[in-house]
Amino acid sequence: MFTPRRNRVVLAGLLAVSQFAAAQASFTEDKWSLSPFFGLTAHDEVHGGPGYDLANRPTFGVRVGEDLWRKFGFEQTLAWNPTKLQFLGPVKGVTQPDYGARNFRLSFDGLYHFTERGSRLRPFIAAGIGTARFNLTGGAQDLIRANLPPTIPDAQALLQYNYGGGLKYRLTNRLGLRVDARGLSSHAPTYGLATFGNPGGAFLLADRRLNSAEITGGVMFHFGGAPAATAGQPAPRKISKDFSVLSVTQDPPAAGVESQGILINRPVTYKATVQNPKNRKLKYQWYVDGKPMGTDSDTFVYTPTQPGPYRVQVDVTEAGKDNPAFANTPNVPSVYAKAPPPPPAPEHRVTVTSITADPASSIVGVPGAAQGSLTGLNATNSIAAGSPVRLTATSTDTLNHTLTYNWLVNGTQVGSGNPFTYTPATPGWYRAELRVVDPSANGVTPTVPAPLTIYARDTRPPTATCSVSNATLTAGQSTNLSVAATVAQGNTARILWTLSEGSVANTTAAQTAFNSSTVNFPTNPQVQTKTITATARVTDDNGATANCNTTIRVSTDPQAVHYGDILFSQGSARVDNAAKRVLLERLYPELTGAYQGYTLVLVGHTDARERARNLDRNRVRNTAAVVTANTRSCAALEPSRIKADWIGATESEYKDASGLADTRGSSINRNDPRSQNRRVELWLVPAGKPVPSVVKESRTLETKDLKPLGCPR
Amino acid sequence: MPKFLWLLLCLLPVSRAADWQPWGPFGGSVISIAVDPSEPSHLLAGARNGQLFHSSDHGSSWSQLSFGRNLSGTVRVIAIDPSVKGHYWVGISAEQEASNGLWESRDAGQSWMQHLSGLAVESLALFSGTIAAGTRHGLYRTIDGEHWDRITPEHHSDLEDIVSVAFDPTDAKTLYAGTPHLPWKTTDGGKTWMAIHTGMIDDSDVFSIHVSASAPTQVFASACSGIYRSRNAGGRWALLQGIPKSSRRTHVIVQHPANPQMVFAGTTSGLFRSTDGGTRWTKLNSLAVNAIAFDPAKPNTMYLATELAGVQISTDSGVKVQPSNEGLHARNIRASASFGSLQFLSTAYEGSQGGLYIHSAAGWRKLGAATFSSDNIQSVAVSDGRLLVSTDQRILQSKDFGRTWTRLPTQPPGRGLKVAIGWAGSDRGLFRLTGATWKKAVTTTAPVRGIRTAGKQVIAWTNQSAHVSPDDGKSWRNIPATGLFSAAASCDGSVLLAMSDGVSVALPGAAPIVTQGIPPGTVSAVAFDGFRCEQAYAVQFGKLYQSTDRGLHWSAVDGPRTLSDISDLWVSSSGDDSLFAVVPGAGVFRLSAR
Repeated sequence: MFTPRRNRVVLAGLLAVSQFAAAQASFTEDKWSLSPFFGLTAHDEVHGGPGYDLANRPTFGVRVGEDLWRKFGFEQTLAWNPTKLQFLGPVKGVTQPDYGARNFRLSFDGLYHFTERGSRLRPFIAAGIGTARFNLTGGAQDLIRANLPPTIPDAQALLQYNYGGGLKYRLTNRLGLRVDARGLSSHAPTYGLATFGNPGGAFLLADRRLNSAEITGGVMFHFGGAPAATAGQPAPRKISKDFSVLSVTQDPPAAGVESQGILINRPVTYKATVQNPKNRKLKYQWYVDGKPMGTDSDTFVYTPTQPGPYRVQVDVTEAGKDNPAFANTPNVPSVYAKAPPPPPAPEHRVTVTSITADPASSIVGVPGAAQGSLTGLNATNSIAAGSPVRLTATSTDTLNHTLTYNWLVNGTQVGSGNPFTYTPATPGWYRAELRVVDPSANGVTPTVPAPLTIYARDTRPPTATCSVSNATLTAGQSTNLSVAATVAQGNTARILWTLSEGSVANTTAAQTAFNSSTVNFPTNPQVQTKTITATARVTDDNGATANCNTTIRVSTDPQAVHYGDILFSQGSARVDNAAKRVLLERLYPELTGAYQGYTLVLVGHTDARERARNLDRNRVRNTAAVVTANTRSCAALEPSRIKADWIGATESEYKDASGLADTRGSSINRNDPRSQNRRVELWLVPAGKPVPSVVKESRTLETKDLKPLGCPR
Repeated sequence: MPKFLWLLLCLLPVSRAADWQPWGPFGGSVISIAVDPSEPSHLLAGARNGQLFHSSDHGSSWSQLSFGRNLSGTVRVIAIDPSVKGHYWVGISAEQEASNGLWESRDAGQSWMQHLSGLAVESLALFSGTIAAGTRHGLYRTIDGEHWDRITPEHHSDLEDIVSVAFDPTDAKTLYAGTPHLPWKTTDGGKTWMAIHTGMIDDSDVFSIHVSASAPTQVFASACSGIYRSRNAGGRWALLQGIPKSSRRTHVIVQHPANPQMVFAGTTSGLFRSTDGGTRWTKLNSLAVNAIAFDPAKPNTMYLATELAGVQISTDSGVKVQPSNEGLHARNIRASASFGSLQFLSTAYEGSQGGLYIHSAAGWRKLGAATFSSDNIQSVAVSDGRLLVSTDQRILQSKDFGRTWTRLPTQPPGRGLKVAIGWAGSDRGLFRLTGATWKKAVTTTAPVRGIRTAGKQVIAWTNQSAHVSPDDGKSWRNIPATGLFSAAASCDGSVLLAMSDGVSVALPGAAPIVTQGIPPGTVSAVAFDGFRCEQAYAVQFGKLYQSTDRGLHWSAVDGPRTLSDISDLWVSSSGDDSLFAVVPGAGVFRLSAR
């Protein structure tokens, strides 16, 4: 009838019920109970010999319980089960009647409850041991005795153990119901029927077991225990003598009525003051409306979130001891939390907190502060005319309304929106203002920030126009160069002249003098012309430039060049070595190099005191011989390239070119005017050009005159 | 080639190489020379016309260094800092002050800085970091390379032109200064100067002073009056008697760097050498020596800067010399002619070192050395099998390309002859050779400066007008052109006139018109391409312009540098489109077509 699997189902059911019961409200923590019950006992068949079966019959009994601990207790059970015995096999001499049987059992059981005392539902498991007395009725004994002589039936008391579980259900503090399911096991009673050697007789094997199941239900009467706890309140406890809670304070204090309550969402601090002379280690458990909250501390901070009354309690127990009898539960006042008063309606205010510009450099300040001077305005503090400025306002509205941004420039609305892009078209100052309107507030116009000032630079590129007062010059002459420059407003024009050749007096002046003396022409006997380009570069403060140029035509018309004079000693026509240096080391290379197109003109002089005849002529001839002899150290100029004249003491300009014939023998003193007339003038005359005026008669030196001179020493 | 292709080719401008290349013949007058002591394979050589040449292969080849602008004058002296590689000092002496000064380069000639601006530098001496520069206006010294002090007194006429200078190698404060009139000396860095001419002929232009490095009291001085030696640091001079007393100008005297007994004297009449300290002298050659430099690593190797003969190298202390002038262009080219792939050039004022040259596939060769040694060739003309040259008053011809020369039986009258095949010009006019006689074709008002022919086109010009004949002289057209520099006739009858204020073109039968594209200014030379009749070239102050429409429109030719000056211009007659330009004093440059 009862299998192990069936037992497990019963146990699981008890556990499930216990889980449910754990959450139920508590009752008096009963300690004693008396529980009469009624039920049914079912017996398994007993095999061996003829075997028998005890009929399933009702059972009556009573249990006395002792719940000494919170979950564990004891119980004594006395049960009576009147039944019948039936043999399972044929027994000689027996007509198979039912034999009345009576079973008594007395057990001592241990119970483990899955919920604590005082709980409405208390599922439990139980196991115990006891004795079972199996007896036959008198009639049955007589019958057996008659049919199975010499058998003497007798009652038997056997050790029996039981196991199982049940469920207790509290109706009130004193009254409850219970159901039990138990398994019973003992040696199978033989009732003294065992006979050996009597074929066909009744005999029962003594080593068989009798298993039974008992299902009962009953009423429980509870006695003793702590006072019953009411719902939402810890169970009454026994006040400890070792410590006590003197008071629980509340901050902020408030009474438990709405008019004097505290505000929700604001923390309230509770503090328990405990008298603890024996220094017990205490444990604090705070409750709000019966729900444990907070930490193990004498202080508890609670923030009500909903308006209404609530109750705070603290349960102080001695730490480490489960026995609640040592707890102390003071009374704490109930308080009333109420919602804070609604804040006053906010003021409707719109504020413009800032305006930024992109580029940021475009805002230079308030009008007037910077308008006085354009100096220093550049790309870092202004913008170029025609360049856009992106204005962005940052504002707040206490009502978070959508705002309208109207932008004004120089007092005229030029657009709306945020951000707003404005492009100053022409150079100048621009006064930008912002007016913010809240359309949903019936024209609420908020504050207007300080107007911004933007300076749009004049970015027109510079221009330059060059001019020259005289565009045709002879080499060596000067003329004036001018540049007319325009630059953007506020800018300064910087001018730089550059020249393909020549020089100017001031390279950075708008008007300057061009000097053609340094214009270089290849040495040539013919007229040459060169076009000089003068370029003026105008640069403004922004680095923009403009160029212009003008041309100057410079011409050179070679004329006779007075190369210099060589000096002679008094009364001598000898060309000294200093003069030879001039003729051979310097003049001859020129005549055969750059001055190939020139004629060498020699003009001989004498000092008036010199009396030697033809001294001026001989000086010329000796000079010519030095450059034409083409022997020894003399040069090889063609005599045809020489023209000559000798003019005696006729005075003419003396030219002491640097380093030219300025050293001489002791007989020459160049500072003596008379020495300066003992000379031969050296002239270089371009082909086709007239000889210098000092020449009275242009003479050709004949080879026959020069050859006898050889290379003069 | 089909005709249309030929026409198309004519319309295309000739694409030219990047730059003018010196062409030769190389050589010329070299005035100064120096070897880089820290890198003896590197040499500098200075010439006239502001030309400075550099060699990095012991003088085997040369290339010109640029000062950044064209300089005139003579690169008179060169010194190279022995302690800093590529640190050059170059002294220039010019008639134009802008070129004068001492030029310094610290990057081997890539860039230059001018010191002593405007002063003609005649001499230079280095003593460690101290530099002394003799100018025509005193002697200057620097001890830091930047700040210069004149250390000869102002207004001292005898210490004005310092033509030579030398340090005592043991004392930077002791300097010798040579002037055109005797030497001077200071022992206190120029605070006081003393004349040191005892024993020296009074009229002595002291070209060179050399202080012996091994015995600093022994000093040599070269002057026009002879070579002097002092054994007491200039206290007394002795005229060395062992050298011939012929007239010469001893430009340089110097000791062999490793053998003090060996002394060299570079003179206008040749190189002399003494091996006994100056007592006896031997003439080694007849080169006119301007300067001498030694290879410090191989002291027997010496470099001679010569007049007209360029750089000469000797590896045996002067006994034998070899010219080494590849790339060194300091020739004085006057006349040119082109015939097919043959080019003819003549020099002027180069005496026996110059003359008439022919360039063929075999390179340069000198023609008729003896014939022209004493004559300056005025012009050259060439035709098939006939070569003509003119000197001042005569015309010679060769029918074997210069091997033999004969004087024409008859000569045109006048001087300054210019010659073309069948034509001659002089200061008397233009003449035509008819048979064996010269007949005047055109009477000119000025000497004929040049004659060019192209087919039947003949053009002769003076500095005032051009005379053009389209029919080989049967008819003439006179085109007045004031300031005419040069003229050219194209193969289709057009005429270009290079004038002092620009270039004009006269198309056949039309009056000259001003062309466009060239700035107003002097055009010194023009040329037509003999094969592409419409292709023309012009030069303005050294800058090359090109025209593809007979000279009506011009454009600057990008790429080639602006030369200092160009006196003559012609297109190769070989058909390779090469362009040749004569730069006065700097030889011939070639611009190759790409």
